[in-house]
Amino acid sequence: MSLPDPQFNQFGKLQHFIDINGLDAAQLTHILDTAEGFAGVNERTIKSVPLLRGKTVANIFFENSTRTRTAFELAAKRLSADVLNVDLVTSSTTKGESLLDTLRVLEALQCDMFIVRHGESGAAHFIARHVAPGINVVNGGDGQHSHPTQGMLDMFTIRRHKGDFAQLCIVIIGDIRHSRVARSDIAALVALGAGEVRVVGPHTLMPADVESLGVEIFPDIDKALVGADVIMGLRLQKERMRSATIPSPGEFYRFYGLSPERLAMAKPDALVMHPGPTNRGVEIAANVADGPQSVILEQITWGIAVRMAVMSIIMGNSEAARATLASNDAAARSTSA
Amino acid sequence: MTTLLLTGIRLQHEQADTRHDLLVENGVITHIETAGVVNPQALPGISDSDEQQLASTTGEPDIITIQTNGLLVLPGFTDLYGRLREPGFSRKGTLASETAAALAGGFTTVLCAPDTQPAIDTPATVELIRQRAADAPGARVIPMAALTVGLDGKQLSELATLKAVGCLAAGQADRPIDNANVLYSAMQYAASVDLPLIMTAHDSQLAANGCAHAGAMATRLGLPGIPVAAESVALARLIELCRETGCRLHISRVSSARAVGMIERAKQDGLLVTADVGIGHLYFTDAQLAGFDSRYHSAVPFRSANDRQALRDGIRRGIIDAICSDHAPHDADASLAPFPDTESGLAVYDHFLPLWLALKPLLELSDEQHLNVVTRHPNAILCDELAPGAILKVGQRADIILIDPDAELTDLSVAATDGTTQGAACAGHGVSAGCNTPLIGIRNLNQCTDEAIPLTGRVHMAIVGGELRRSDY
Amino acid sequence: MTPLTKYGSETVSTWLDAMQKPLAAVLRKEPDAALIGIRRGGVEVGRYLHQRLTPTEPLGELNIAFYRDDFSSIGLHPVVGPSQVPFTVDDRHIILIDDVLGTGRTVRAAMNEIFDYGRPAKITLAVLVQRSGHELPIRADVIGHTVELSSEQYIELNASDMSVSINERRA
Repeated sequence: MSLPDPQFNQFGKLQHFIDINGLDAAQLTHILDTAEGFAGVNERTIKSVPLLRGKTVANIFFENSTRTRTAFELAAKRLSADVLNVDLVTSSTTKGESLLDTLRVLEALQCDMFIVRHGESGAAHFIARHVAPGINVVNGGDGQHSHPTQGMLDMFTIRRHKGDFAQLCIVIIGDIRHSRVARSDIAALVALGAGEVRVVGPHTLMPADVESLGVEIFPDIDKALVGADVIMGLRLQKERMRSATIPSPGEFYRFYGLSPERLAMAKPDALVMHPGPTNRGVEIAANVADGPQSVILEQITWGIAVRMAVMSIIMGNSEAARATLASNDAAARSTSA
Repeated sequence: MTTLLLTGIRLQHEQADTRHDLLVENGVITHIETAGVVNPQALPGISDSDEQQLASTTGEPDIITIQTNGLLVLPGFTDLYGRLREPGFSRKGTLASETAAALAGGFTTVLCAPDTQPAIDTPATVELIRQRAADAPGARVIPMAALTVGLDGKQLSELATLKAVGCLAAGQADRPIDNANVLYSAMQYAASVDLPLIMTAHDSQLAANGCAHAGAMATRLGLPGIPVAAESVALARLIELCRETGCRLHISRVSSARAVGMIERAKQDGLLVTADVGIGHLYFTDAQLAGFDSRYHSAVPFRSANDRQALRDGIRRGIIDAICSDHAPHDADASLAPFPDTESGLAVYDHFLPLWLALKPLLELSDEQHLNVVTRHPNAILCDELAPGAILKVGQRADIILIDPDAELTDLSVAATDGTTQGAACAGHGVSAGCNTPLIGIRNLNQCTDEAIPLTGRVHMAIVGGELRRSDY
Repeated sequence: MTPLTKYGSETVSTWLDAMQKPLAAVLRKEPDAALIGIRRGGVEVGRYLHQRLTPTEPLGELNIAFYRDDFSSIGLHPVVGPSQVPFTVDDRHIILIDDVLGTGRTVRAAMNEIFDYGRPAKITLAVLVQRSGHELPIRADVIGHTVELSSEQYIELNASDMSVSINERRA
């Protein structure tokens, strides 16, 4: 039998958020709508609500990331949760303690929610399948597979500026092969009915059979940008140069970089997006990253609201499940008594 | 050795309602007659008084009569690739458990993969395996010699010596020989020693850290992929070196349409190339990996539906000569990690017979083709002339299985259905010690794959070299 | 389902008039006082009153989903649009409006939320209907209508015609 999706509990409600694949347009839209509410909270003097008061959220990061970890930490604190930062990059796991053993140790700390970032694709699925019942898991990025909260905050940003997805042409440029952000963005755009999703990059940075994800490959970036409403850059990692995948950052910028001239080929109100941190002069020109069409900093801001939404929804579903099971138990006991 | 008389058996090539008797004496089939003709009392050399005398001295009956009531009797299968895990990996399995499991799968002979610990690169290890296998007899074990010392791909093993102590083939298991010159030399040497090579076509650099077929599923899951080129480039190298050295080359566990095409061409060119496919690759594709299902993590990856079809066509057209099990039992911990970190391989023995039975209607094979791929052809590759062919004949070594092809699969143990295992205890396993099979409790493959294929069949008894080594009764 | 009792829009408008009089008096004394309605019923009542009272500030709308003390049987309460409080709360007299005051938990959550916007000088609670069943020490200052109900009965405002019906929960 194929494995059931661990994201959903026995009542069919979202209990873990690890992969945009598996959620339909209605569920994704619900997250975006909920995030709208939290966006309002972040504009007030008191930027917090008591939803997760008394809960402990643990950031369990097996891979370095100050940026994502800080965003999750802030989101948890704005929900009035207590936050625990567990840095496992240089801990016993690297000494050979298995991921499962690490998980058991962390469960003994009695946290309510784990935010996990790990270097292997499938790590979040594994954790969601093996974590003790009652702990919610949010995927902060697993290998090259998925970074679902980034995908959602990108969608939130696009929706805020552009409204309906059906008419939009989105262009994603760069290292799609190694990018969990690209996979999450593509999955979300396709599920939300985006008009057209184009991918651009050298073959060495395209995954096998990429069109099966629902995108169209454009070998020529200039042609790809014509008619673009949204342009999403991706981070090019230095190790791509070391692994003979692309020759140099200079060549990449000359042929795939988002320069001001290239930006001008897109629609005049096209959004410029990037998950950060940007390599200026490699993926994107500095003045484009800082220019009027760039929403890169906004993405970071919306990331807080989107994460607050995700955490509240899954916590709420688990609380509801607990309440239902408790009342079923009580009913069963009273009938058998 | 006890004489065995099997009565009331059904034979594959005879009418379904006829019954026969079969007599095994001293490890050899001596009579196959219509039922009722063989009279044990009339056998030369055995009189009533002899029988009683022998019984009193050895305590064992001189002759066992098995009344089978129409069990189908087939030649025992030969497995060209099974991992028996001993010496070195006792958490995963032992010679005792895995040779017993092989019998349950219909195999009376198993070519034991060389990646034990230590690798099978010295006569001492061969002797250890022989002794351990003799202690708890299941299927006959033929050790496969490690082509290079420690399977390191650098230094040749003592192939002639290993052949002399019973290794009928040599190979590299799943380990690469990166240096083409070493490979050339190894194949030349094997040719001069007349030892067939069992090689997997796998270029370790093209495969890099891949753990799944480089296709739509790996792309969706963000798993590093193993492109078809990793097989085809290595295969081209093996075929060309075979052409140069004249060695007998057997390609183990083909996975792609491209490879099938290349092997066909090599055969047309008259090269001594044969090939097999793991039975799992005839059923599973990369679609099974959905949701990071590590039960389908295989070193030779399950590729696309197109590739699966080409492998099936390869069997039907005789381009692929044999089907092996690719059996790889694991302990429960082996799967308790994110997909890329899980150990690869499936425990197949407990389900080999039903999977093999289903191939006949699926691929529209004749009885002879159906049996050749697990009997005559693998035995020919090992140059084992005493072994049975597709049809049991008088004078052959008594390697026999008695099966009920329609038997319902019993639930050997209960499986967890959400892919988890409880702690380090196995969620479900059969005769094999391996916890890693997706087929526990499965009655029809549509519970796993895109095809509705009912699974039935059980090996009720197995006779190896005239000895009854498995019996449900 | 057919309600146990229905109060038509004419009856209900007499209740609304009963609320309007004391609130108009407040606004005469403190013209900077602002109205905040609790979504959704309280906003409907608030709109009706705001049109007739014409205070200087627009109507504030509170979504208390993030302040409730229970996640409920359906998880996070449906988010009915984000809160909008388009004026400063600090030192202001807030007139907090809801359609029904029952247990008092909704008003408790609303007050918590108001205090996260700032520190009001005073809060006056105005409800269309105050019913029995209070669980917290919260009482309305301005009431349109009072009613005694059993725990199986619940009362709701029909915004389309501003009528009110009392229904009974099935066991």
